[in-house]
Amino acid sequence: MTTDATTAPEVHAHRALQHHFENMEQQREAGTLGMWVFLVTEIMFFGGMFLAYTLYRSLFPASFASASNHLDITLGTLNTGVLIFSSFTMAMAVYFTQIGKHRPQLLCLTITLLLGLTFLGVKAVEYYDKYEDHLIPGRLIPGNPFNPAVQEEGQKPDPHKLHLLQGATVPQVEMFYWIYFAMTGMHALHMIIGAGLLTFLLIFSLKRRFDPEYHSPVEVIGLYWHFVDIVWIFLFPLLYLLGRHFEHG
Amino acid sequence: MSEHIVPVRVYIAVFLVLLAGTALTVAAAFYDFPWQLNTIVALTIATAKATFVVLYFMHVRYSVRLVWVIVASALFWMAIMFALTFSDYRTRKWDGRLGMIYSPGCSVVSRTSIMRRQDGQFKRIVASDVLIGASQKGQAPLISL
Repeated sequence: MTTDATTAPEVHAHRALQHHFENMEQQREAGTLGMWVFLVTEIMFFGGMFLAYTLYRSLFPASFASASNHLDITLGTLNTGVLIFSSFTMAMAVYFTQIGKHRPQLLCLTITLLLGLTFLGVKAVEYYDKYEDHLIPGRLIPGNPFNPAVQEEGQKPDPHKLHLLQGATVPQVEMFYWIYFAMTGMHALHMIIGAGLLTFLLIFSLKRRFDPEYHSPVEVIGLYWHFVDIVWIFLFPLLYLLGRHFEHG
Repeated sequence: MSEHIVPVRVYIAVFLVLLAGTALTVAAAFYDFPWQLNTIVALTIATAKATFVVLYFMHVRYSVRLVWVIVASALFWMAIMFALTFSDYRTRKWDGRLGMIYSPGCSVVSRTSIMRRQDGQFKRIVASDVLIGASQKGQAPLISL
């Protein structure tokens, strides 16, 4: 940045620079650091649920494998792809903000938002399938308690019936579904919050608030979005893939 | 501006690696590995994918040292949470007093736990509860752990 000798440095200060920071770079680094501290608390929050998952899976391995095999692996894989693609477009949105390309930045933010909503739509379809098969645990849905039909020996395979592997029991399968809905539900809530944040970014981007010097909000919300993606990267194999080899191996 | 701008080709490469990782983990899930290797393979691929996201999409590779410390602290506290919890759960059945009265027909649940009975009720059990299989009353055993 060239400084005109006749003007005071304050005139050149970016309009987004807060008075307690020396310059934009310091402000951006402080913001990034703060976001990472928040993400650590988020990691611990999800960590508690991963802990519960690990514990109950080690107690009920056969039931967890049976319950997992009932999940829709096609939709799960599709959603993983959708989320990875959205993470990529989010990273590109940060990139285009950094180099000051306004229109590609808007495009990337819009695609990211649409992919996030696609993920939530697919998740809703999956939840509805579980509702149809009476797999919503406990009595969360009044009038539709946890009561899945179980595949009996010698019956012709029915995708809506629960196929219990040896050693699996229905109450233990219910435990899997408690954990499944808690984890994917909290993840979906984070996606909904993320979609709200992206909408905020889009509005402020339309107002041309961001430029190469000031793009902390895009960067920081990008960090959040990638974090939610990482949670799903772990949820997908742990929830959808753990028992496939027992039936197909 | 000293900020590092990650080139587009790096983003595209990471994106392709993540897609390949997803395909790989799905393919590996259908293959029956010996022992617990299925879980280990799945978690290794997931960790590798997450590492790529953290290093490149989240720019940690180009971030100041303090960000590295914060990321490491998350892993450290997670390790503590898992280690302390499982050092409890994994050693509950080591109680010598319980071992002596552990015999067929009796079930002992270590120290204290909440059990769910067949009728859906919950029952709190302490170490002194020796549950002689409830078969005398013609019921299924209370415990199925």
